[in-house]
Amino acid sequence: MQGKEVKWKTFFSETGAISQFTGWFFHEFLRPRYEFREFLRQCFVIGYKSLPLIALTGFIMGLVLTMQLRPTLVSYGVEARLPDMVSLSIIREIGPVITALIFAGKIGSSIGAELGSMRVTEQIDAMEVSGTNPYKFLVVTRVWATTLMLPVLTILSDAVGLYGGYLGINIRGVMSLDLYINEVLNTVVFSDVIPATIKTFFFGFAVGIIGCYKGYNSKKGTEGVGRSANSAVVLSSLLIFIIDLIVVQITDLMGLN
Amino acid sequence: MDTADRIAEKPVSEPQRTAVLEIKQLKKAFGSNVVLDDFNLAVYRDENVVVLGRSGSGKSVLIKCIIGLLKPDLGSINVLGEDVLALDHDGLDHIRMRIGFLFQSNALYDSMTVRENLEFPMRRHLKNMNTDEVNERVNEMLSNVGLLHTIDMMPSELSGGMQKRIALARTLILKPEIILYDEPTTGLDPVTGREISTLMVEMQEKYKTSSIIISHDMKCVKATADRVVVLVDGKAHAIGSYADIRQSADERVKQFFE
Repeated sequence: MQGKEVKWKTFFSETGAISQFTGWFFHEFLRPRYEFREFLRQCFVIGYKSLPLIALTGFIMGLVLTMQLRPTLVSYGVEARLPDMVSLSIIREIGPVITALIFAGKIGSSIGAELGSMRVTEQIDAMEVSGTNPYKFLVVTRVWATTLMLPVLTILSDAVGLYGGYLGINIRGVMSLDLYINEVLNTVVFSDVIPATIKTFFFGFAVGIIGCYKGYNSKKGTEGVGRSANSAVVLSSLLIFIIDLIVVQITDLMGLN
Repeated sequence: MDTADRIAEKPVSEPQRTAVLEIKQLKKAFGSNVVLDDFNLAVYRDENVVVLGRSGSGKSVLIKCIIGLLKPDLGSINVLGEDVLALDHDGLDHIRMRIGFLFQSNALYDSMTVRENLEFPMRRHLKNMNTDEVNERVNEMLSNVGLLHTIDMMPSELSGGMQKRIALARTLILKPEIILYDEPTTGLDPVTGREISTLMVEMQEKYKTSSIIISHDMKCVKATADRVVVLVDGKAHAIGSYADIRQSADERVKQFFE
C-alpha cells in the first residue's frame, strides 16, 4: 500500500516538474537573447543527420505495408484500391507515428544523454557561471529544432514511404508511376494532410521537451546519464501515442475523419 | 584559549588592503544537514586564500554560493562591491564576468574544440572584439598554459593534466579579477599537480587576480596559499598563513598534516 502511495507521489511530482519545465520554455523562448546560431546547428544535427534513418524506415514501412495489405485486398477483389489504402494509411497515421517513434529513439535519447552528461560533468554549471543562460542555450534551441524538424522529416518519410508502396505494388503486379501518383492524389485530400502534419509539431515538441527535461535534471553520475536517455525515449514514445489519441479524437469531433 | 582561536585572532592583513570578497555569517543547510554555519571570510586584492577541509565539509558549497550556483539560507556575500544575493539575473551575469571558476571536473564543453571552448565566453560577453583580437586572446591564454598546439583538438583527445590547463586558460579568458578554484589538483599525479599549482601562482602574479582555492592537497596548499582557512563544522575554525596553520597544536587542524 505504501509502495503504491510512493509511486503515485512520484508520478505527480514528476508530472508537476515536467509542467514547470515546459512553462519555463514558454517563459524563456520569447525573451532575448536569441540563440540563432545554436538553433541552426541543432536543426542541422537533429534534422539533416536524421535523414538517412528516417528515409530508410519510411521506405521499408511503405513497402511492407503494401505487401501485407495486398493479399487481403486481392481476396475481396479490390486490388485496385491498394494505392488509396497505402497512401491514406501512410499520410494519416503510420507515417507521422512511426517517424515520431524513430525520431524519439534517435533524437530523444541523444538529447537526454548529451544534456545528462553535461549535467554530471558540470558543463551546464560552467555555462551558467560564464554568464550564459544554459536553459536558453541548450533547451530552447533543441526544443525548437525538434518541433520544426519532425514535420519536415515526416513529410520526407511519407514521400519515401509512398515510393516504397509503389515498388511494393510492382513486386506482384504492374502499375505505372504516373497512374500510382494519380491514384494517390485523387485519394488524399487536405483534411488528411493538415491534421496529420499539425500533430507532428506536437510530437516533435514532446520529444524535445522530454529529452531535455530528463537530461537537464540528470543525477547520480554516469548511471543517471543512461537512465536519462532511456527514460527520455520511453516517456516521449508514450506521449506520442497519447497526443495521437487526442488529435484523432479532435479530428473526429471536427468531422475530418 | 586554544591554538585555533589564537591563530584566528592573528592580524592576517593590513587594514589598508582592499577586500574584494567579503562573506559574513553565511549559513547553508541541505535539509537537516548544516554545511555552512556562521562562516565569515574576507579575501583581499592579489591574495590567494586556500580553504582547507575534509570531504563533504562544505568547501565546494561555499564557492558555489559565491558564484550564485547555490543560494545560501542566511548571511551576505559581497563581491567587488556588489551584494551577490541581491543581484537579479542580469546583475549576476555581469558580476560572473569578473569571476573565474575552475571546476574540479574541468567542465570543458566536449562537443567543442579547445579554441571554441575558449572563444565561448568571449563571443557572448566581449562582442566589440573583432576576430583578430579574439584569436590573439585565445593564443595568449593557450601560450600561458603551454598548450597552443592543442588549439584545434577536442577535449577528449587531451590528458587529464592538459584538460586542467585548458580549463585554467578558459577561466582566465575574460581576465577575471577573482578566481575560484574547486580542488584544482584532485585526480592528477603529483608531478602534474605541482605543475598546475605553479601555473596558478604564475597566473595570479601575471594577471593580479585574487583567489579562493578549495583543496585538501597539502602540496598545492603550500605552493599557492597566502592564507589558509580551515573549515570545520561549517565554520572558519582557524585562519592564518601556511606556516601558522602548519604549526598549530589543534588536533582538528593537525589532522590535515598527518
